[in-house]
Amino acid sequence: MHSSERPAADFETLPAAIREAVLELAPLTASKEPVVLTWNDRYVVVPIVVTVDLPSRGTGGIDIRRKEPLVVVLDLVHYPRRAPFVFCDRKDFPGDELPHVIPTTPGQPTWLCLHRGNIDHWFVDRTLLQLVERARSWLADAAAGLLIRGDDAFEPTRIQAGSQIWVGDVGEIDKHVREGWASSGGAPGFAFLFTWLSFEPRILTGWSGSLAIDVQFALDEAQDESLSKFRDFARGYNDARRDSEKSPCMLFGIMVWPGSAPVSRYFSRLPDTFETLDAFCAQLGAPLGDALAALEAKDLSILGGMVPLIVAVPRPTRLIGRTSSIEHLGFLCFREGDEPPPEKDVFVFGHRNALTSEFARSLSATKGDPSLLAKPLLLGVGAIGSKVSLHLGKSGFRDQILVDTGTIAPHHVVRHGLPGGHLGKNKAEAVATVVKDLFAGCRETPDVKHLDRDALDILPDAQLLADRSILVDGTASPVVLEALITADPPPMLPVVRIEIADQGRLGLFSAEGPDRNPRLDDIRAFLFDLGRTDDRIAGWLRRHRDEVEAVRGPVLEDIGIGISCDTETMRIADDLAAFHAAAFSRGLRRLAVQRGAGGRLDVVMHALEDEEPEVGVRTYSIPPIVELSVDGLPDWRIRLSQPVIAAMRASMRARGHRETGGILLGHTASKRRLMYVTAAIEQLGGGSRDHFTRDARATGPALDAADRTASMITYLGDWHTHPSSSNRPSDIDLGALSESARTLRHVGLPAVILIVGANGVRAVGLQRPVGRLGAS
Amino acid sequence: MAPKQDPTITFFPVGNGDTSLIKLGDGLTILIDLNVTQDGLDEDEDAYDVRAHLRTDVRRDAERRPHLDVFILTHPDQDHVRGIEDVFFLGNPANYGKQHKDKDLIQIDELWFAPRIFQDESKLCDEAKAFKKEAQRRIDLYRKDQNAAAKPGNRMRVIGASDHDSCDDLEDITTIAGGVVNLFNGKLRDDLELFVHAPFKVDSDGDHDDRNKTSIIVQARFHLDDAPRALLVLFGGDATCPIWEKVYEQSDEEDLEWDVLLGPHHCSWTFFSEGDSDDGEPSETILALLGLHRDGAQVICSSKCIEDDDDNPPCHRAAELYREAVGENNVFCTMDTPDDPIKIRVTARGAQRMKVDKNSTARAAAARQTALGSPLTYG
Repeated sequence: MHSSERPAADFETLPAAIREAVLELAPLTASKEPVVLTWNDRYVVVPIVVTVDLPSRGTGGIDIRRKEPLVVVLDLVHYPRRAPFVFCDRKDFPGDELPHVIPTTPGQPTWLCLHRGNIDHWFVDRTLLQLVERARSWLADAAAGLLIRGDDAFEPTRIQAGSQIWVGDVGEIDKHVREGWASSGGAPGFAFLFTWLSFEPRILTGWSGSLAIDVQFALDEAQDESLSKFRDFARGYNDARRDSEKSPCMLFGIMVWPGSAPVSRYFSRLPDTFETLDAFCAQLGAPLGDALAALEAKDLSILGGMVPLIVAVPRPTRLIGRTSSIEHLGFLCFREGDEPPPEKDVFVFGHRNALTSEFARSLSATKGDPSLLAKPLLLGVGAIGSKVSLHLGKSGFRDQILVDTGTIAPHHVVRHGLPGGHLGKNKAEAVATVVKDLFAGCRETPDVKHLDRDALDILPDAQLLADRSILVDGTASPVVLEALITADPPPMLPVVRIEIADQGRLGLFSAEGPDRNPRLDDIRAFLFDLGRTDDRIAGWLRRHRDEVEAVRGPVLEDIGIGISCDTETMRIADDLAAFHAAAFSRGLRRLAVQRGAGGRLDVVMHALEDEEPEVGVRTYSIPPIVELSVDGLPDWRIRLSQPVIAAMRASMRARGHRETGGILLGHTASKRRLMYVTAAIEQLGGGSRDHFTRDARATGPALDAADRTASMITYLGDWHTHPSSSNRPSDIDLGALSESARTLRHVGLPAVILIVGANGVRAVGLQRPVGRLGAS
Repeated sequence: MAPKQDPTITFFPVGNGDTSLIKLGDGLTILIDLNVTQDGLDEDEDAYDVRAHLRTDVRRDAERRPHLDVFILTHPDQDHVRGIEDVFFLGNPANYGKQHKDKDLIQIDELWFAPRIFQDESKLCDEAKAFKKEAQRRIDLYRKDQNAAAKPGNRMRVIGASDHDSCDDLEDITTIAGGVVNLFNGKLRDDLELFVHAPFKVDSDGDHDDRNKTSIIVQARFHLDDAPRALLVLFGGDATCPIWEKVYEQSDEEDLEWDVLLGPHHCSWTFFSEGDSDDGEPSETILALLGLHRDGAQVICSSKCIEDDDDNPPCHRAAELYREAVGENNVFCTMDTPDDPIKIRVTARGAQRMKVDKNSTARAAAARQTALGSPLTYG
């Protein structure tokens, strides 16, 4: 046993927590008495015996016994904040044949890996006896061959966190290995690695450890010209840095791989000397000797005998936490040279993935096809736009173009996505710089660009827009909105507008549909119409109207939704702005995965501190819009959705030969000569075979509801059906229209009607009244 | 979808009675017999809380109603059906209402039984009568509306052939001796099948009042992805020696191989012989059947503790014969550990004992629920 060589520890001098643990484990010791031994200066151990239930038909040749001795290793200083380790006490325990062990050096006991995640976190809510039971279950699973299940991914070799890390794009390395197998029929092989050796690895790895190796790329033995070029370059570079011990230096390493047949064996011990490394590679069939010989032959051993080494091991299934089935074990060997290290000549290196855009997307759990977000054009990088840009950047969407002419003033810092240190800079430039810096350790070409240009100048730039995958308008500018709506030609890429309203109570994410249908203005009309039924929207519209009237008196004015967080007069906390920006970023990610046939409106809600707490998001699908020209009003258009048309048609069918109809509710944008019909309310009754008489009293409740929208949704006109004839207006229709127009002329609004016939829907309008025509 | 678990079989410590729960990798549950005593009806107030255990092991639907996939009644003796109305909901699933949910009664999606239950009304205990009534409801529904009968809560299977008119027109949902079933609660399985050994029609329809003769006997075959027939388990209710002899004579050896045997009739001598337990000789046929065990086989005696006394069941001499067949350390009695069921995991290398996780959150919640369910008086 490993423990039989250990001296007894002095129980009375142990910390209280350790004494308690020893007593708790006493019933499990061989003698049933408290036993504690000294392992080293830092740890004490309690040797115990557990009973393992073995499968009835044996353990498949694995030497696991019904009574297994274990040692529970307790950290003298940190227990119980640090979970104990559990080792197998038997020197002949078959750890080499089993997975889920933490690799140790030869001569050390088998160290059971009892938890895939952080075992200290696991132990917080567990007892010592539960840990022992976990170890017992481990042994039972090992006996039954169930440590790894059939549908499990392969567990990679656990490398204990140390100060040596290698960084590299495993995707590229995998590709090289697979190409090697493909061209050789699956034979073993090797390649050279061009690497940086860093003595201050913090930027690369996040560790303040001693060394890091940054694997840049692999080269084949046959690539003589490239090898010579890089060798000469590296030599020159290293000579130039010789006086600066801390600067990184270049050196060549090697990568070796065995044949492509999967290796199922787990490695409970990793080599720490050249002799054991050689044996390790030989057992795998990886040509270490050939690779080293070739390194010498090509004169590539340029840095004092230090040779980074990666052994690429093909596994039966993909590795846990990765998409590849190739495991990479990193080492640094010292062959000969003027800096031999003490004691060992082979160091095991842990691995960190190089941060790339793809890795960032993976870490961000990006789902589906992210191409919609691959090349965003962000108009406006103020408080909201800057935060969204950073969210996208951190998620790996770095090919951004940021547009803003504003500079960062002191008050902007209160809500801007950037911390201090960027005062006076152009907002777009500042954010672009920070997004680039996110990937400082990455060797990808920085893509993010900034343009100190007006958004209105950008929209006509067809070439610029053609290169982009999505346009996100975070300007909160009604001018930009108008430009997006009325641009001719219109920008033909997906358009999203993000803005907050009602002092931060509402965040509005408006995503146009395919081919820009529905459009941002259609979505706004839909939003106003929500006020008929939604208290939050109604409250906002009412507050806005009250505020406007208080300042300027009652006016008919199109509501400006967006709050520009850039003004000194705006009162909204950074966390509230961040809340909405995060929701908008989520909205973009969802759009990338679930793009439907229409548009989408997300209404993000967050009550203010002094209100009833309410937080949430409501998502609305906005169906595509049909635009009708208006007979008699050549400048005007009516936009209405398919469901509204379908509802009118359904009413017509339901009434058979009787005419029916009602009122149209919606929003008017006078300047644009557009009417947005958001609802066609059917009146009950009033129809006969030849006539329909609209009586507003029968639609009263609908009009009351429209009042809730602070007149953003109003009565637009009437509709009725011609079930047995075409949708051409009759003389009676034109007479009624004339009556309406007479009334509306005082406010400069046209009268419109919709006629639904067997041949479709027709819009007819009149701006000024004309003489009454004869009956039809 | 929840990750697959190891298939398990749990033998509950219910005294001289059977309650065996099979749970497959995807959570499908099959209960073979039930012997749950009630507080107040049985002086043994320390009985293992089978009801709470079942509530945590069965799945729940979207409305949190618990469902057992299959209940198999080997035969309607009281110690195989006790407590059925206290644990399970019997009746039209559409009538499962708030009062049933408050009691957390488990719905039985599919009911299996032998046809003999319809022939002994006067001799049935109350629980068996309740079971029979439920079986009849399902049969009536099947005859009236097969679509409705195919829904969970109405499904059933008859095990064993019979010419009794209670079983008319049920051929499509009957499995006779010699047949194999791998359809459980509407799903065809590739991880479990039951080979039906008994009851035989002659016994089902025979003029006798020995219910043990008509007990369902099955060989449960557990298959794993890389190990077909990974575990073979014989369940035989209270079937007696002559029945087992008949089974042996009519079966191929592979249909009687076993890794685990639930000792029939609670480790009774009646498995070994019709004669006296003191001086009778065990049937050579039965001994030969015992000899069909695979390496490392185990016998589970679902009975009171086995003492060298005159009790039968359990019979000390029977236990000795089991030990001779499989080894001293491979015969287990459920009541030797009255607080812990015997739980076995199915592995490619045979049966492996497991501990019941008493510390699970679900068990704790179920235990609290049970505690709340019983009125307590303070003074």
